[in-house]
Amino acid sequence: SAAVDARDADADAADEDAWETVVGLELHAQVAADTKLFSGAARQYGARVNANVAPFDAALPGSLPSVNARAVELATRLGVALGGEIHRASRFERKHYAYPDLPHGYQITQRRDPIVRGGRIDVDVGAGATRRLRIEQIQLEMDTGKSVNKTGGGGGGTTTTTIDLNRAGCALVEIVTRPDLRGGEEAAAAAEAFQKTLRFLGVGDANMEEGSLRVDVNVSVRRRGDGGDDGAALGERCEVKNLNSFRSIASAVRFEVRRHRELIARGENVERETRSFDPANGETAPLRGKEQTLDYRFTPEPDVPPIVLSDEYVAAIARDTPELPDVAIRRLADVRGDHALPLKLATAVATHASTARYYEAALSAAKRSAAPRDVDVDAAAVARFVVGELTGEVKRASVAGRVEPLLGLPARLSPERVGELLAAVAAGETTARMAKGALRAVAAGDERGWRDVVDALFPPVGDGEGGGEGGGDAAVEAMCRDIVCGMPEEVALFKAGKTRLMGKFVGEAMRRTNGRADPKVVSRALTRALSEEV
Amino acid sequence: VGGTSRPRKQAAGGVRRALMSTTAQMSVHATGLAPSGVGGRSGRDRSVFLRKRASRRRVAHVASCSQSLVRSIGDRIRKGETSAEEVTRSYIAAIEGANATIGAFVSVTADDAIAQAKAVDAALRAGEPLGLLAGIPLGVKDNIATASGETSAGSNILSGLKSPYDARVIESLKNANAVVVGKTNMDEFGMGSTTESSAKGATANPWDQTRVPGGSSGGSAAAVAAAQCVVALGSDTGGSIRQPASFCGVVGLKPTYGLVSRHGLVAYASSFDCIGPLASSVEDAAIVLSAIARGDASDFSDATFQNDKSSAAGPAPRDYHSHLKRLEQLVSKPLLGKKFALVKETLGEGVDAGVVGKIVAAAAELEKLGAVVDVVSCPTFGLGLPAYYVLALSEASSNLARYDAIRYGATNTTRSEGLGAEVKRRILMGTYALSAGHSDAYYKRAQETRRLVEIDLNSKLSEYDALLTPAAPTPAYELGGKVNDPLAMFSGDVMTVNVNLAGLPAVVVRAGTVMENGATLPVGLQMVGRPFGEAELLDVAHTFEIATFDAVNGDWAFQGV
Repeated sequence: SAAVDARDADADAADEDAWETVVGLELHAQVAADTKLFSGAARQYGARVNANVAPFDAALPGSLPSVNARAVELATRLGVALGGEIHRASRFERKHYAYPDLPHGYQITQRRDPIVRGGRIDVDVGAGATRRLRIEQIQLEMDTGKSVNKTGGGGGGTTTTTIDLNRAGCALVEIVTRPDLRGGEEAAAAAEAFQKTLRFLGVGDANMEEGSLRVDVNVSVRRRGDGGDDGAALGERCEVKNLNSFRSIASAVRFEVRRHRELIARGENVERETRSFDPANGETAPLRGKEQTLDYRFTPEPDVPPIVLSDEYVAAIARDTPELPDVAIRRLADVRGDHALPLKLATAVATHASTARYYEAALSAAKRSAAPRDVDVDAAAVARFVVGELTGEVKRASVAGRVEPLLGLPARLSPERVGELLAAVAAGETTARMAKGALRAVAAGDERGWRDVVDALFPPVGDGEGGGEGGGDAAVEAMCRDIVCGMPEEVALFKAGKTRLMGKFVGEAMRRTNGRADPKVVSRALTRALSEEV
Repeated sequence: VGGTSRPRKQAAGGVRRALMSTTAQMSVHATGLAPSGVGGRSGRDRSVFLRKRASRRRVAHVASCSQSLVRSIGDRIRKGETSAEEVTRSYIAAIEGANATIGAFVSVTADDAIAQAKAVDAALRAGEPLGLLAGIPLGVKDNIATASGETSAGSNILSGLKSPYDARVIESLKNANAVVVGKTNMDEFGMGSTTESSAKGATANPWDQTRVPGGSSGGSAAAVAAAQCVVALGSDTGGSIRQPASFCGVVGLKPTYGLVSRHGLVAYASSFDCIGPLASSVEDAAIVLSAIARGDASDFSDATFQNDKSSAAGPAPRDYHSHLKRLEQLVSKPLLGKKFALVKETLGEGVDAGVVGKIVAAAAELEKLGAVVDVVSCPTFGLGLPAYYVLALSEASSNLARYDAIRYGATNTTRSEGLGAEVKRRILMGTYALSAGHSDAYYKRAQETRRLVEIDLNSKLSEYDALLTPAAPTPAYELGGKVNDPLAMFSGDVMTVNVNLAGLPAVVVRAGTVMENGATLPVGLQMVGRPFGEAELLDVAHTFEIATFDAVNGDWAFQGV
């Protein structure tokens, strides 16, 4: 495979010169609705064979489809998030072909009037660059069953095909892109970007191994400079079907590019074909040529009425649709924006939609709470607390969501309450250390208010005495001088260079204040006290 | 196509003039009825028997009545004068007695029927207030799924198919405590107009056993006509309820597309298919419609997905029968204010003269009842038949793709063996019409034509309460007469298919009989109503039926029991 990689590298390098690779994708993603697109049967990976089959899924005579509203909602969400136009009336059609795992003899799909048209996704193509991939359309359609072939057994090499209809009729979104990609790696990166998006939005599991995300690539080559995206300027394309890993996507594209260029170099034409890919040898092979093009005899689906969506419906979905991670990161890290988070922190916040939502809610709650005190709240401090302390503590206390840690937290851990706590920290009323301690207690089930929790964990020492918050800076200074006076041996060692002993002085200060002192303030005061000590 | 010319009208007087020659042969009963003149009929059972005539071909008896058989039998059950079980047993005996000659039923589920009837009797004994259909024997066309017995749609390829569920209409009728006695014969997958293409053999017309009962719901029509069940369900894609109703002299209602759930109906052409009742009176058809007309979340025939289940559930249940008047309640000129359009093109060339005579006479009866009848031209009329066949066969080729003989029903056969000649012909024609390079010339043009027909008929219905046509261009013809002439068979649907193209409701009622080669044969009048206007349409049809009953039956040479 090193040789293959080397050859690929050569091809890619040569590609740089005179030839340009043009790739478009067709992705099929199973929609994470509980039931199938047109029947009430469950959608469930790995169920017992033919356990989830309603009469409609088996195409029993007289059975009729009934549109799954949840699938429509999720497809709409995907379209909204990708910036597509949601069609107020989309229509289903029948696409006819005969195959044993297609019980009706047709697939119900939306070719002419899809639910979404247009949209885009920005693909990270390395070195901080992105490629904008335009989306042609997104359509709802039903999945087929699975044919399981078993060869041999009885000797003579006969093949037995059995059919599992568990998958038959599950809702798919088919995403068709424009040919905007320029190589195999880009194609793989684009597929990965779609996978992340589908998962982020909760539209689908998008698991390539389980087949809940399947990718076809359309590949062609053209001489650099032929330019333009209209079909006339594109070379003849081949479609490679059913690629089931990102690696296969990249390899299949590279193989096709080489093949096309070799054909052209020999003076031959690239024929429009549908091809399959063998991951074992990294090669594609023809499935059917242009002359074998299937006549799908598209007809309107008379059993399913048009899906008519009101403006209110689409607006409500748009409201509930989380911002895509790449969009959110750009916004949160924008130095001229409201957040101006460091890129790494913005990325951590935007990993999960729920985390980003939580952070923004906690930040505004903290600002609301701090405003009367005329204190500024630092967005980065809130972000750090949310992705660091909070996420850690909810996991530790086992109240975190299974996939999204900050989804569905109990009311005592609401962004409003955490915002109040962070406002107290910003105002200097509570130290970060006390806040963390209180958070741990509340995460573990303490239902009391912050002040009570904090006071229970860090009992106030008397006003003015030894550095408690009532005493102010003077009290802290006094306490620190007292500590330095009371530990002459340690002070001597410290001055002799054993600076690690500062920890011991700070520890003593924290002990005396029941942990309420701010270690930073204390350590500054101690430094001063030590320098005064002659 | 695309005639925009205004419909040509003839004044009502023109209809009367046209009638002068035909009315004489009818024993026209005085209309403008006085209640006292008809009071004596109310208590009489309307089951009448065809008088024995010289012809040996005629069946023993034909049920027919102008008032509700459902009510009269149901009343006797509820009063305890008889029991549901007794009624059910007697109808099953009638099926067993006549099925060898008529062949209306393909299967009888006697045990289940008697169990259902016994449950009705038990409920009545327990004092439960059961509805009108409680204990009423019901025949079900073989393409409507029943969890009991087979559902084979008249095809070998589905032979042995046990449906795991009841069709929505069956659920509704069982909830109304009707008793399903069995499945009735039909043309294979509904493809035919004679019931001869059934894999189970042909059904005979009870009026003359050498003739066809019509189709594809021929079994249901024959079963009602021969009193083998009280009411029956049929399905209508291009006339399959109305034409056999006409051939067998019963009432047939094709509801507005989408009013009755198709859930459980073996699909022929999904954008046309409708389930509807066949009965011996308009009122009985209305009673059945009240039970089956309701929305259904699993059938989007009419409803539009509005991201809201309630609006997707379709029209609310409605009562189509309670407002129907009894004969003695009829005022003079009960149809005063109604306007009907007698469609000119349905009375012209190719239509049997006897049929034209009966329809024109029926129009005259409607005028006597106070209605205005205009002769109106529907310029799109002639376009409907070819457009219908292109679309219906295209949809059929899609719907029947699943019958590959490896999934259900008969799996020891192949498509070529399991499907009949007519079905294969239609699948091939439909596939051709949808194929790349042909679909614009056929399918697309047919869709455009469908729209034109819809616009034309609806514009007529904005002016008229109903359109009047014969239900079929001829009375029932001889068995085997058209089997080898598919085009002649197709053209027999000319009266009915436009109604399906436009999705409108239509009811067929008796307009009298004609004599043909010594046989007395019924002729049906088709009344086409406005979308979801079944209540008004059935009201008019019922008024016509009860007011003209004697006239029509005098003509039929029936005698009461």
